[in-house]
Amino acid sequence: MAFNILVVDDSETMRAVIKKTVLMSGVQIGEFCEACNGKVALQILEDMWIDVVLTDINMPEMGGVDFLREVKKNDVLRNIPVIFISTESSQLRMEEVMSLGAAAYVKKPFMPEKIREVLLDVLNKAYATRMAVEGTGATPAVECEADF
Amino acid sequence: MMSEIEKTQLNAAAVEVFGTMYYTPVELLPGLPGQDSWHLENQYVKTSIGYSGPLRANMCFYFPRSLAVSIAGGFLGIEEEAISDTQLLDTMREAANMIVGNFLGRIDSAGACTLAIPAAEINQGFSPESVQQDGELMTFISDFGFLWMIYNTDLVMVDE
Repeated sequence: MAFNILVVDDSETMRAVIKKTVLMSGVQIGEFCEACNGKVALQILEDMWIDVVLTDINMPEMGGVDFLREVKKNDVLRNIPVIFISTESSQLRMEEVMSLGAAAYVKKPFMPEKIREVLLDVLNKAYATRMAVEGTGATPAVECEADF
Repeated sequence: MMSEIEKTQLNAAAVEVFGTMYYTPVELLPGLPGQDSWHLENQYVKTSIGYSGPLRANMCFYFPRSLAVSIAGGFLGIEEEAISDTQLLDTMREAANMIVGNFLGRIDSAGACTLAIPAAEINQGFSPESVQQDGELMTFISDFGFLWMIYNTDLVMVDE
C-alpha cells in the first residue's frame, strides 16, 4: 500500500532531508508533496488525498499550530494524521499541539530512525482506524525494512 | 551577559544539533581564543535569530564558509562544489534555528518564549573586532575553525 505524504517546512533544505529520511524508511510512497507554510499545505489538502502530514511549527504566513487548527476545523480533513517536527522542544508546546490533535511530535534535531518509528506507528494506527470504520480486518499497513 | 548556566545549555544545544544532524563536533570555548589562532576566512554565513517573551535575546552566528559548505553538503547529500548560496543560506538558517530552539527548550521549559524566523546572508570581511560592539562575543571550536556568535539582549529582532 502506497501512501501520499505532505511535508510542510519553510526550509527547502529541511524538506529535502525529511524527504530523504522518509524514502529511506522503507515506507512505500505514492505522491510526495511539499509546502513552505500552513497556507500552502491547506491548498494541497483541498486538492488531493494525503495520508499523513509532517509539519514544522515556526513558519511565515501560517505556522504549524494554526495549520493544525484549520485541519481539525474541517470535517473532511480532520482525520488526516499530522506529525510535528520542530525545534520547539518545551513540554508546554508539545502538550499544546498534542491536545489540539497532533498525531505525534518529533524534536529537531532528530535521528532518521526516529522519523521512521513515528511514521510507521502513525500510519499503522491510521490504517487500523480506517479498516475498523470500514468493518474489515486490519493487518499492519506498513511492515518494511529501513535503508539507513 | 549570558549566565554560566545558560552557556552550559547553549553548548549542550550546539553539541546536540551539530552531532545529531551534521555529525560535526563543536564546543563552546570558555573565553575568546588568542588572536593568533583566529585564522579568519574571507566569507562567513551570518545567521541571526531572536526570541521574545519572559526571556529576550538575539543570537547572531558567523559560520565559516568552509564549515557551512561541509554541513550543507553532508546534510543535503550533494557534492560541495554543487551547493548554491541559496542552499547554503537555507541550511545555516535551519542550523541556527535548531540551536536556538534547542537552547530555548532547555532554559524556557514552560514554553513561554516565542522563536522568530531566522535570517541569513553571506558576510564578507568578518572580524571579531568588527562585531564586538554588537553584544557579547562567544566562540565555538569546530574542525573548520572557529564559529563565532554574538549574544545580545538589547536589540531583539522578532516577527511582527
